[in-house]
Amino acid sequence: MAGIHGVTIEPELVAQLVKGDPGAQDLVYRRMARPVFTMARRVLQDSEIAEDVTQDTFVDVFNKVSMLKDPASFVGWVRRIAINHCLMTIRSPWNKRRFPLEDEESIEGTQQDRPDMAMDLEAALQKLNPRTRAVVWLYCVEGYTHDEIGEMFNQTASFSKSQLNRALRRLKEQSDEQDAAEPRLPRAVALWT
Amino acid sequence: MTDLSQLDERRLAEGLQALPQLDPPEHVWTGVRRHIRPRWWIPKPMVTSSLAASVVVAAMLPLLVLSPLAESPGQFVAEEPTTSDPVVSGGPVAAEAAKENGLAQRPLTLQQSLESVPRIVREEDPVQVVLAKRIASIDATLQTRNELDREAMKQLIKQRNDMLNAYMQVQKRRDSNALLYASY
Repeated sequence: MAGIHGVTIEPELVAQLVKGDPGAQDLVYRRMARPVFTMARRVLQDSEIAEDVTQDTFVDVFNKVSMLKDPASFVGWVRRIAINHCLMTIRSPWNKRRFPLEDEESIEGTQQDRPDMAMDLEAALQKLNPRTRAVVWLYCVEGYTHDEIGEMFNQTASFSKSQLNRALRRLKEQSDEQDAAEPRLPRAVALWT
Repeated sequence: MTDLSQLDERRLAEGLQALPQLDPPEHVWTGVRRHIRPRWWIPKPMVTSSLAASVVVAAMLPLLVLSPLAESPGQFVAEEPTTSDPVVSGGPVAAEAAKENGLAQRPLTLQQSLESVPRIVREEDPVQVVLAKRIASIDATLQTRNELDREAMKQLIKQRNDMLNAYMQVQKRRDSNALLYASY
């Protein structure tokens, strides 16, 4: 699966969007909604919030496309708006109350709630802190550099690198814990087939 | 097949990219269409200039001006009932207390006036909610500054300032109204 950057939108279609053509809006939505929603859903781990982020992203895109300087950069612009909405959600006081950013243990504790479930990457992601998850997704799927991710979070590149390393460490620890909890299962766990 | 315990950046990236894409429910598109600003009746300059922000502020002016008028003490006097037997909610004790405080002639108009005050003053303010959401939306766009031209940036910043000013005006009205109610 490619990220949002894998989508192609022709400059002529962007020109139609600027004119407010409903057909162009429909076409752009059909092409871009899946990767935008997928990113929001994977990063935020909540379907309803991901729906809100997707809706707000496209409302912004269609209402402000006339301000876009270069139609060729349309996809990157949409991706950046979607990411900004995700980050705003993560930073919101309401979300911080749900998942205190520095308190990872409270999230990891949910692993015990699903002892019978085979470990897979999606379940492992769910146990990461939202900010770490966002860094992992932006780096691994959307292809941003550590410098760019650091800037998005008003931090340095080191922040992004440390979050990624932390995620890798946590995922490995979760694998070890899973093996210890279920010794009859093979050590190798399928991430994908 | 991959072992999570041997995970590295490359394997993690491959694993994440192999996850299936998810389709948003159809009502998301319905919501998007409902919120898209209709362009066909708005002249082009209005769409891209700060005039649009001015129109928003102008449209809110009646709310900002009328809400304090509706609750001003002067208006209570002007609307005093002519009935000689005013009704006071709260029973005879409350009526007696009201009479002692010189409010016997006012209760009905006071109640009416309170009811005439827009909900935005007394409860959660929808104008502020809308303004806050629009400001946040402009902020999200401004963060994509590399993709915007200089003129569009300036217009967005001006719109943001106008909305912030309007937000603060509403807040100011609400604060003064709260003080006014407290005095009753």
